[in-house]
Amino acid sequence: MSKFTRRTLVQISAAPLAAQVHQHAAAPASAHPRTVFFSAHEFETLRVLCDLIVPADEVSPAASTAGAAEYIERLCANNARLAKTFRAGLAWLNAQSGGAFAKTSAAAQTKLLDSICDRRKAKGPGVEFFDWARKMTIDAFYTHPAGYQDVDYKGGKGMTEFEVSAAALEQALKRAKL
Amino acid sequence: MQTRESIHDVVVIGSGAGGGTVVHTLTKLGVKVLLLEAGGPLNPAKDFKEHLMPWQVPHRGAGEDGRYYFGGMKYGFFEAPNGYWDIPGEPYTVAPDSKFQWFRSRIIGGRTNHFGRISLRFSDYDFKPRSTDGLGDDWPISYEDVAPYYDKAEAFIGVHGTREGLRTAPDGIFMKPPAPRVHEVLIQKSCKKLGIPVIPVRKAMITRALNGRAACHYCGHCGRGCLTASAYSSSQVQIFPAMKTGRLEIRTNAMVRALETKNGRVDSVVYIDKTTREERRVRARVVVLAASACESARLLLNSGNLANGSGMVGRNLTDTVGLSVRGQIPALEGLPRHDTDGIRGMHMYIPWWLFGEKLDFPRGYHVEMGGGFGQPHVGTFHGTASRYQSYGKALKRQIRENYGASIGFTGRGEMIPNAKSYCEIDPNVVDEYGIPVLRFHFQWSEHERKQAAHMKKTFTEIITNLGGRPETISAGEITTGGEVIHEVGTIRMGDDPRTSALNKYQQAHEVKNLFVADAAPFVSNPDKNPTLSIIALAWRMSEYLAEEMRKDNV
Repeated sequence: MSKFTRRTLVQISAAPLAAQVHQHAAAPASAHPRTVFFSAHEFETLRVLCDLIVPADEVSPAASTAGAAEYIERLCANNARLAKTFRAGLAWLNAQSGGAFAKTSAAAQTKLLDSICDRRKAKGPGVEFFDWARKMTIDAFYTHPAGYQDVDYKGGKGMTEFEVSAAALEQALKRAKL
Repeated sequence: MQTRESIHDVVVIGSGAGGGTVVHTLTKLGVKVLLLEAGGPLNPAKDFKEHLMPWQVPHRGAGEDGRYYFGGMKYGFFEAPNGYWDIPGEPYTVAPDSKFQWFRSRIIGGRTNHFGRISLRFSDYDFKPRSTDGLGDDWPISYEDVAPYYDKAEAFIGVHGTREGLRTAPDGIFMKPPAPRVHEVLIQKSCKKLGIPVIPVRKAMITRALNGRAACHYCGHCGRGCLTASAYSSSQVQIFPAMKTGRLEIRTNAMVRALETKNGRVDSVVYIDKTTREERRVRARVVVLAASACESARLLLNSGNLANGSGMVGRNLTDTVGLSVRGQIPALEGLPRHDTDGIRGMHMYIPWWLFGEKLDFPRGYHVEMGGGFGQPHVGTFHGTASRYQSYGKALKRQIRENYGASIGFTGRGEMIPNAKSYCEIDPNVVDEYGIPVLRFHFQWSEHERKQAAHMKKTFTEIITNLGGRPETISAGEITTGGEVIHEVGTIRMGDDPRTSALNKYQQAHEVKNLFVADAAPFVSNPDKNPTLSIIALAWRMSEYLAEEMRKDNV
């Protein structure tokens, strides 16, 4: 009875999860409808910024796949403090870029972001804004199936008995010299 | 609806661990109970967000208005419903020189729907603190009085753990615990060299089927409310089954305003029906307060200072001492990925290991630990981003490398009751139901500050010993009062009516048909989370009450 119950349960709880992960991973970008708050110009600036913070690499796609700009815009539409930070920050980015951050060269974009990305060294109006953009972009990306696949999160499935990877344990003990 | 004249056998106010246990025990013994809950009903299938993925909600868990980013959602969007630091329309105040925060739940099951399920017995010396070190006061009962009820509570709610024979962590009736995770094995082996014991934690999570509840399926979502009731909650484990006895009536959205007395006995309970905002009155043969320590004290203070000849109602307010340190452990970086969800939080913990040693603070603490490849959520990688201040491919790589390599320690220690920590009625503020609210006074003393400093030193040493880089994660050097949500002691029990409000059966000295079944009767606040003791003591109180009713003594 006990075994049957547990197994049945894990099956019912795990199956839909796996299906959802798969489905969402395959979903196109249009799966992230906009709550229109920013102008087209602002939104494009934000989208480019997000993809510079989390670009595509050999492991996973860029932040836009995870709807990062749409996520930030949605929260800005419902939160005056965030709206103020992002509106001013995006305008500042554009002002530093001859009017359109999104249209400047990759080298110019990198140069500008390099000057504001490190709070320990940099000061000025872009620094605080960039920190917000970085936090919220990684939040959007790593709460999406693309981000789960990037860090290779293996959970969310349930187990009948909790088991630990013997290989991981052996490796960790060896490295810790224990 | 009851008529004005009908008299209920027992009216229980509040449906958390205490109220749930009273309801379960009394209905089983044949007593009819009316349960009043200030919040709404609970439907786990609808209300629990177990197994929901962050991308299934557009705001990913940050809240529709992004309140997560402004500290407004400490326990997150996905947590079980109705847990609040702030309840709209139901304020409380804090004295200007104090800091205190009060977490309340307004729903059937209260805070048991989402709590950590840590279930630790108090030790023999925990009941006799004054005799042990001269501070605080002794309880009017001893470990031997409570042990049979710890047995009953553990066997019924289901607790996992191992028998270790430690005086600081008395053994109980345990189910098999889940295996330790990689970081927990590392910590255990490393701590052994420091003389610090690391043992399987005791939690009210069943690892084998029990009373129709399925065994844990290790999804790690315990705090969201457990649909299979594998994690104990008073709603699913005690109250829903009690409804089937036919002896339980429940009224939700019933915000109790006051108790009314006649001839030295509680005669009736006056509550506001939140749905109509009308006042209602039920008559009772016996009233059991289980509204949570501070809420129960508030009710007595708002009922003409009822049962308070000792002046102890609202006094002796304590919370648990807390401090956290985390660290990045190189030996854990880049390990083969595997599912570490398990039971939320730790599978292993450190019971107090220095009892009887000469230290610069009294009492002790236990240590909780975290780590593993946790499910990513909003905020999960803020620490990595903040550490490296990078962006682009470098940031992605750093997040990947650091994921699962961080461990954290949290101390949970005993606070000594002091004269500066109490709650009282604020003479100037009422809630939206017209009920005067509580004003909190709270001060840590040197005892607690020194204890927190010891925690910090110890955790730093453990992390350094593992080759890690320690970083304090607590905002200050000690948690804010109330933050650990272990507020106890505000209607304490004792043998002497001059210094306590309740007798050793949690019955008011001055009002024989009034009982208290939450953590308010606690005389001290040991370094063992209060819930298991609330359940054991409420069970003991209920058996006594049923017997007294049978003998017609109340």
